[in-house]
Amino acid sequence: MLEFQNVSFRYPGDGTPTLDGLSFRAERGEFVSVIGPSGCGKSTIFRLASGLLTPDAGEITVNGQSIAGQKNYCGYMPQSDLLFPWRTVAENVRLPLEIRGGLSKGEMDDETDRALEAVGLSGWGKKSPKELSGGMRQRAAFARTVLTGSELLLLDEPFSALDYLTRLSMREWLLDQWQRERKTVLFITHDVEEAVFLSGRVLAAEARPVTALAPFPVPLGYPRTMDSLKEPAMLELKTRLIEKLRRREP
Amino acid sequence: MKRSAKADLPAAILVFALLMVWQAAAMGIKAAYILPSPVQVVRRLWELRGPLFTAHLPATMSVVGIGLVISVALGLGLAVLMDVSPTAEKALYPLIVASQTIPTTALAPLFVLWFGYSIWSKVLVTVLMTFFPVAITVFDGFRSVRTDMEDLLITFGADRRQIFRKLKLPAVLPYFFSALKMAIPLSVIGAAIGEWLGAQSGLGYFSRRMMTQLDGAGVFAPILLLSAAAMLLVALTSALERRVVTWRDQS
Repeated sequence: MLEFQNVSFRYPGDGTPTLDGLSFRAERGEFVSVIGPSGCGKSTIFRLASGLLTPDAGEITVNGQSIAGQKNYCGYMPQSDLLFPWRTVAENVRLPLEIRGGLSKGEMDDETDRALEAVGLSGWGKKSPKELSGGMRQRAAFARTVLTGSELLLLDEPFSALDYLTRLSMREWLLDQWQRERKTVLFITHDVEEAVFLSGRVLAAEARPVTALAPFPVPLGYPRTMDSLKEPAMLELKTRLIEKLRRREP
Repeated sequence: MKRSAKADLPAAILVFALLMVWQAAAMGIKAAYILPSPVQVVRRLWELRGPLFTAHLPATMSVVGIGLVISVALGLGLAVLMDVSPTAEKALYPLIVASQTIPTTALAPLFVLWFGYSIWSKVLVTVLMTFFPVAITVFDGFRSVRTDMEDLLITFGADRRQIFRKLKLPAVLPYFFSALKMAIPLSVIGAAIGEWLGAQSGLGYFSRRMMTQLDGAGVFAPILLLSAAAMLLVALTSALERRVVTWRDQS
């Protein structure tokens, strides 16, 4: 689905590159997490994958085609919900439809209603974003991401701004959504437990510059519950990942 | 409404106290041509209501109106231009800032030479004083637009026009209203200055005429009217702002 081939990238003005000859791939329908300490270049990977940055070398492909020149191939969900305060929740959610164009107002309303219902926010469409709780705002942002219509969803630490308990329920909620929508998800987090709980495969970022992502398959199928994290194999994977990431500290 | 009346109470008390001091001082000095008392000013305003409200207030307000429209159009145009083109920004921004170091008041007699006593000499003074805060404030608004929101729209495949319509325009609205609320008093001041220097009607002109007649209360009466007009316009703008910008308390 998504493939990085020998991708290198250096921010203008930086001495060392952030990514150097990085290759990895995410298969169709897979839930893959990229994990690493803050500032290791995780977000750069996302900005490259979403086309906000262009690689200095190498190629990024989606469905075997280079992303250069492709539009609407991915839905990007940023760290903060970025709901526009001057739009209602429904108007925010249908933003990708408005930009893509080609739909009548009625069709847009129908799709928006369906998307809101899928994330459990039907009836909240006419509210202003500020009337929603943090978790509800993230769900609205997720509905907006889904309405890009893309098979590939890039989720950049979407729950990092939420309180711990909301985060726990949002994790389970996200797995539900993923199993229903059957999309490919690339998920960034610095939370090891979150990565293990959600993913089929965890990719750990090496020290900067990122030259490779160490793959850690998660030894448990879906569906999962909170208790799945207590399985010995899961606990062991968690410990191994923490070990791996801690060694990066000087 | 009730809450805002309560919030304004300290200011109202202070204004009243200051008026009392003024009244006492004026009554002590007993020279109305130097310092008329507030009561004398209000009485004079009432006596002069005919010419003030039918001839001079409309004259000044048409200068303010035309000046504001031109200033807002010019200021918005410059702000959009500077936002669209970095070259335009580099060329225009220093120029716009430098234009504010020119003492407009001192140039006004020149405008009278160019345009005579017509309305345009006054409009020019008004525009020169007013377009600057509009241009700079709105441009600051454009610069404050969050790049992460812009990035989000880009990932949705938005082009520059869509980013402008769906993100920049609404994001800049609160700044636009701030600019307008700054521009209104400035345009009233500009119009009055223009009229002081050369006019045949208008509140500024009337005030100066009373000056030559040593009518102290007559000097103050049109000034009172001018500030009242400015305050009323600002209040109307604020009311409009509350209707349009409903999300302001959020960011």
